[in-house]
Amino acid sequence: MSGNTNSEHAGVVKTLRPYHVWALGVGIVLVGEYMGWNFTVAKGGILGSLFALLVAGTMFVMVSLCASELGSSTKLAGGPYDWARLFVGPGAAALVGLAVYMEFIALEAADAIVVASITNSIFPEIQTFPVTLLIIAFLTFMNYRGVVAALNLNFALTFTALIAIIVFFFANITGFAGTWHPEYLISGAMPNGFIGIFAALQFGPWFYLGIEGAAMCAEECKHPTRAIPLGQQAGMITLLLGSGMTLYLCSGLIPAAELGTSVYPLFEAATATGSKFLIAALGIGTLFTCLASANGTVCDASRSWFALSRDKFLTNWFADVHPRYSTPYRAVIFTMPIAIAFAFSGFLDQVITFSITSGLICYVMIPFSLIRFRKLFPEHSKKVRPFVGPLQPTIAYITIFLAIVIMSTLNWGYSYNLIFGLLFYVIAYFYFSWRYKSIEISHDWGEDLGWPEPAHRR
Amino acid sequence: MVNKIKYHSDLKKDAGIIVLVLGLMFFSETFVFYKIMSTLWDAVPELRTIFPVYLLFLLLLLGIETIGCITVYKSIKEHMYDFNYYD
Repeated sequence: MSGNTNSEHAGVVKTLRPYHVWALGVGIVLVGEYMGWNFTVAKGGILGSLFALLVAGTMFVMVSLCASELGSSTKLAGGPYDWARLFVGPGAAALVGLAVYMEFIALEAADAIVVASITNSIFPEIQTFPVTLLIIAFLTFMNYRGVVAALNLNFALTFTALIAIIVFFFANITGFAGTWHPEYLISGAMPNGFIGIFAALQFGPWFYLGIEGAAMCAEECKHPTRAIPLGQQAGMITLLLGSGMTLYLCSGLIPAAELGTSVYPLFEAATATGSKFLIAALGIGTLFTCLASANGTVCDASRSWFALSRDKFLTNWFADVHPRYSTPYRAVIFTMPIAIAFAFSGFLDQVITFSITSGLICYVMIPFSLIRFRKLFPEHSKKVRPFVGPLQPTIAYITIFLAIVIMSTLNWGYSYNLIFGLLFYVIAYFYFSWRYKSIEISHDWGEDLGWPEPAHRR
Repeated sequence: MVNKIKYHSDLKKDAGIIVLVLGLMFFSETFVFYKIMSTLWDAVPELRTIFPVYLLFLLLLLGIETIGCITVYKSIKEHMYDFNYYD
């Protein structure tokens, strides 16, 4: 959905409403409640996981407010890439475009690994890796053919998976499904002390990673100034709701030692209740969210790659649109080898770590773009800034601080991943800054966005 | 000509949905926070040291989200006629 191309979006019908924005954001992210978040338990126990949920939740609430303001103001589909391009500079734009690409590709690989693991647990004779490849190939093909119908299906899948969590939660607290064990919490409260609690922050973003993607459909919204803030906040509330319920259920139904290494913790929690209905519902929910998320990520990652190519940060070869299906098919196909390379590692936590590192780069750049935006265009007019986010730019600064703190916690256990990730993005920044110098691109605020010149040029 | 009755009715629907999910979120977050803290309070003495940090982030999370929702509501109310939100 984040295709921000003139060619692709020319004549696009602006039909999306707030619930579409909600569904796009939650569709990609809800998988984070079904798997991945539980690595916080391995690091810091139940208290570490709760700490990560609260700190990362606070950061994402603020990211989402920044994204709401930027998305409803620019009304462009490139999301973080376009915000950095407009308000920070070409090097930062390319960096964010690449980070979004990597964040979503790694997420796709993680989703495919989980679906393959579930298949393997149901049919032990089937190998995991071939199934992972098959899923990646299938989703690439679906996106090659066009994704409108697939995204509509995503909405239904996501809603089903969300309802499964809510039903499970209320069934458990009312005593209808399983016994919640306080002793599981006590035995796994904080196995690695205070450092473990702090280290758990590194997997905290997985509860909410990618919610900023909801603002990427701004260009296709009927009323983006209403749909983006409303859909984005509703999406954020949904994820907070889901994350709290998930932590409660899994911490009391699965011993902490098992929970910390589980590939699909919610499904295992349902299995622990012995309720056939819940086992089926959460099993289906896990599969649905993985597929919905992987499908959405192929879509967003390919559009980000396509945008980089169209703006000549990459070879223009990737900017071709399919004559029949109107999809950026070369960029879509190119997601496949990268996702396979991630999946080939086979280590879910490693893949998730790279996705989180890439996401955190975005969570530094999004609030920074907002700070720059407010400096360049201080006026609160309905043309420039129809939605004025609260407590800004204070919360933008706090967001940057929290993102850097969370990133620093990757030093515990994933220091090489962190160093490699940062080195990769530093090199990318300088490469794209150098490459952009040789490209003549003029920018006219009035023509592009209907805005006045920035404050410093007047 | 804008139908003001319809606009106010639709605005109330938007607000109603957000208040509903916000209420559910307040319930679940505080319930989960209370259950985990009360379960571990006596068993993990170190918890007393870091409890204020947990409480601070819980309040920040709920507070900023609520302020965000109120701001969204005010923004929609302010611009609904300018942008014909409910036509």
